[in-house]
Amino acid sequence: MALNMKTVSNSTEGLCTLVVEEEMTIYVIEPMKQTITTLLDSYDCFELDLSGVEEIDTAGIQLLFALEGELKRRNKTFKLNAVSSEVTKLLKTYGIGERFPIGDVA
Amino acid sequence: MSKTILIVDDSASVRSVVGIALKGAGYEVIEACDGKDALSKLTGQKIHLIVSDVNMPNMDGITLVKEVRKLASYRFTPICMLTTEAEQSKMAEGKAAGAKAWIVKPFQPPKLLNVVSKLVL
Amino acid sequence: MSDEGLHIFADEAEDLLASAEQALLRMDNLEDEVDTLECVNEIFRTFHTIKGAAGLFGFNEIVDFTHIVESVFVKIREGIITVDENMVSLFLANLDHLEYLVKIALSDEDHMSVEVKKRDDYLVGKLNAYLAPTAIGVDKGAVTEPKKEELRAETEQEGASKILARLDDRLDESDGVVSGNWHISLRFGPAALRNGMDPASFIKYLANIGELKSVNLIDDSIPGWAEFDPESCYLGFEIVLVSSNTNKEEIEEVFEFVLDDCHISILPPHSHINSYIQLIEDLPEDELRIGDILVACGALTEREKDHILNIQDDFNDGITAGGREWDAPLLGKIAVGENVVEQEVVDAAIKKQKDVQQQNTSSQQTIRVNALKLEDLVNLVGELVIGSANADLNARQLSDANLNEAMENLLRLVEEVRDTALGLRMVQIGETFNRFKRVVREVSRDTGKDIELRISGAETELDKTLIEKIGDPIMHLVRNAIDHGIESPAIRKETGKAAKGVVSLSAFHESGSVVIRITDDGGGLSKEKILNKAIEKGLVNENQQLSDQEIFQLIFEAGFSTAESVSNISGRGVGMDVVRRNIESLRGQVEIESEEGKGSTIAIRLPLTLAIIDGFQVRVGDAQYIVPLDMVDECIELNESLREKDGNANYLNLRGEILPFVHLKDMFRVKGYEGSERNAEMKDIEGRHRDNIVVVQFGGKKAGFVVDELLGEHQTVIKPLGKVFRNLKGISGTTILGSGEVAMIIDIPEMVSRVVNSEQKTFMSSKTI
Repeated sequence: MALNMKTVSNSTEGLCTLVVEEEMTIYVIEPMKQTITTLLDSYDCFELDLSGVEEIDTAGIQLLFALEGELKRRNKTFKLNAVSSEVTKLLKTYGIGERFPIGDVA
Repeated sequence: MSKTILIVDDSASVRSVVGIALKGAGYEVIEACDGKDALSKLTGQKIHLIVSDVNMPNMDGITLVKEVRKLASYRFTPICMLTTEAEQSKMAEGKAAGAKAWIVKPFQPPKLLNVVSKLVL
Repeated sequence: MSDEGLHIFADEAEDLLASAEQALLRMDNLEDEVDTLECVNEIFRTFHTIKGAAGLFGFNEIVDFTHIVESVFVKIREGIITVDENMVSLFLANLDHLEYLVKIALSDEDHMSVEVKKRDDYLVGKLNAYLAPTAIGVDKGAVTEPKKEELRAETEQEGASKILARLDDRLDESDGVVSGNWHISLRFGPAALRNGMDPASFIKYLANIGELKSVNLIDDSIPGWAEFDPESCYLGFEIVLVSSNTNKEEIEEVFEFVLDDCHISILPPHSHINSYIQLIEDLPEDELRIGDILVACGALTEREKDHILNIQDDFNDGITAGGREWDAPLLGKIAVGENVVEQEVVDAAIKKQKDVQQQNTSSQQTIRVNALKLEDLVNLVGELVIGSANADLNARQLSDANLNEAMENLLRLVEEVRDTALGLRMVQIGETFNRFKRVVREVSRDTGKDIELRISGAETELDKTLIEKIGDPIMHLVRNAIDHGIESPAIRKETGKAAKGVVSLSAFHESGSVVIRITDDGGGLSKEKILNKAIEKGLVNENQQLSDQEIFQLIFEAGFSTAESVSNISGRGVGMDVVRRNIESLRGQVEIESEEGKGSTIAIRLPLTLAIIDGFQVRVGDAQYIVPLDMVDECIELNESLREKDGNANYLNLRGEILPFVHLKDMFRVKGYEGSERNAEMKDIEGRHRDNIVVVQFGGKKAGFVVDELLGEHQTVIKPLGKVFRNLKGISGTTILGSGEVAMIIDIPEMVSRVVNSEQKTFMSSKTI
């Protein structure tokens, strides 16, 4: 039950893609935030690939909001690249199925 | 993905009835007969909700809650206590220890399913 | 419930009982405190575990019994009671009894046998003795204080739940008109997620009580990244829920486990505001505090009220030192400011409070009177009535105009005194009816049925003694209607009925009786099922011809039950016969109307009062009889042309209707009838005797009694029959006439049914020939 997040980065374009697998719940949210904190200054554009997320809870969703807000304040961009069905389900429960710009839907 | 619930009660028939009701609603169910047994069942699998009796031999429900909250991988897991009217003080103790939900005994399966659906996402 | 579960329960109970018995027997050395405590714990757990399991299976007799035993053990564990030899043997008896109860529960037996029940009562009595405060050999002063506190908390809670019950009923009543958007505003506290409470599950759950029209996630409170604690919850939600049959309390209950972690405000649909105001106006005229009024109409939940009170306390800090003062405008202001209630509703509540206070000051002049004094008064008035009748009789013989006029005046006054005296004992039935709201709420919860109780005619008055005695039978019938009458919501849907069942209680006056009707829109009675069951039980013969009413009446036979599954809500086939007996002992009758698939109505017909009636005096031979005037329909002369030309059949054609009749002289075998002097005097010119028929009506049926002479109205004080005559059929009491003679009061209900039945039978047999 540890965080499974890979970082795919492209320094020339300032793009950082975070690929989260398996779990994005309160149990892994603290390390996830810490990892993102170390990357925030280095990139201009963040993309999240959540297509491999099997379990997500409100702490996970809340992190998306916090990250989006922070990036906006820094004039950086945020995008959800892909989401799994579990993520879609929870977003729909909250009536925010369309809230985040989403790339390909897995 | 179906969610897993651990039911802890020293009464086999309670476990059985609760188990049947929960399985019928699509949950995975793991049974434990007291607090100690419950702790041993926590490792090696992911459990999304613990439903526990208060009064049990070997390790009672309150101690179980305290122990569960010490475990890194279960420190946020919802816990629901099965209490009786006579155990009001126990209930406060359980809440303080981290079990925020409760069902007052005696109860019937529909009540349990209602509560469980509020606690398991 | 699954058989598998039952088997496990059986085995488990056996094991537990065995080990508890061992533990009890080990308790012979009471000196060893540690060992004793260990045993106590073990026995406690036995009862506790069996109670929990029994509850799951719905074995309520076991739950009730073990609960009391458990309570005693709690006291032992807390050191309030010490264990002695007597207690050990009592607990051994308890174990045996529990074993028995388990056995009964597992067998198919319907209910406890009388013997077991007796033992149950006996043991419960013994156990309760330990629970009573006097039995605790502790310093009294120390115990009474917290006890009082507890009691107060209990009554307060009871008051609250009463109001809640009323709230539900009220809102239920307005179901049809109220629908719309509930606005729910949630702000979760930081600890919610860490406590394992995920807002998403609660929002999902809301979909069970209505349709989620919109969910708006509010992320304004999420701080900047550096301060952001990802395990804390910063989220809020604005939710619009569409539901026509919910209320504030129910919505709040969804969030019961996060109430500490979440700020909730629930705003009702706008249409509700009007209904709240309507409800406030309709509230009973109790003197309620403003907060209670708002709670009672459902505009405020108990939790919100407490919250507002706390705020108010902060405001008033120091000003009102003792207790909570309810400053109406202030409370209203806070409630509106806190966004939990609308200004219009608060205004209506304040107005209601003022109105009630005003009304109460004018109507508060009531005096409590000892019931015995009242009884004495009614008895004396009875004597007065008899005395004045006697005086009247004597005055008439003197034919003094002045005296007669004075007498007439006096009689009128006596009549008024009588009515007023009887009126003192009359009480509105409304309060009795209201008790059932709670019952319906609880029973419908237990049975998982959604039920509305409709009440009408709450202002109908009847004698207090009657009201006291009729409560239990009504209770039984209401429970029956819910349990056996109303179908489960699933079945109702299948048959195209509204999911919500309706039970109605109504009362009204009808020809000198009070009629109380219990109606349900459930499955109705199946004539076929009743008949089959009755035949099976040997209550009726297979080729017996029965009318619908006679078939329905069979359910009042002892030991009769058609419900396929016996539950613990209503009785278990015992009781319906008791219901009928209780009603009949009040000189009442029960009738059933039912249509299969559509519902049933049970009508209880009761006399208005038990003490004095307006009677109609008749003569048969030399004997005088009284017919209650309310039941007299008309008097006609028995004219040969009226008689059906059908041999000896005792019925006549009354304006096209068949009217069965009997000769009272035959019915009561009046002695010396032929030699009656008065009859001789009354023969007409042709030497024939003219018969009169008194047509009476009861319960929708008419019958005629042939009498010799109609003597007119008579104020009748009913003297009940002595023990020796209690079994006489056809006579309900006696009275003393002005002349000092005794007259019998005819038991019209009994007589009517006798006449009508015998007539039906002869009618039937003549038909079959």
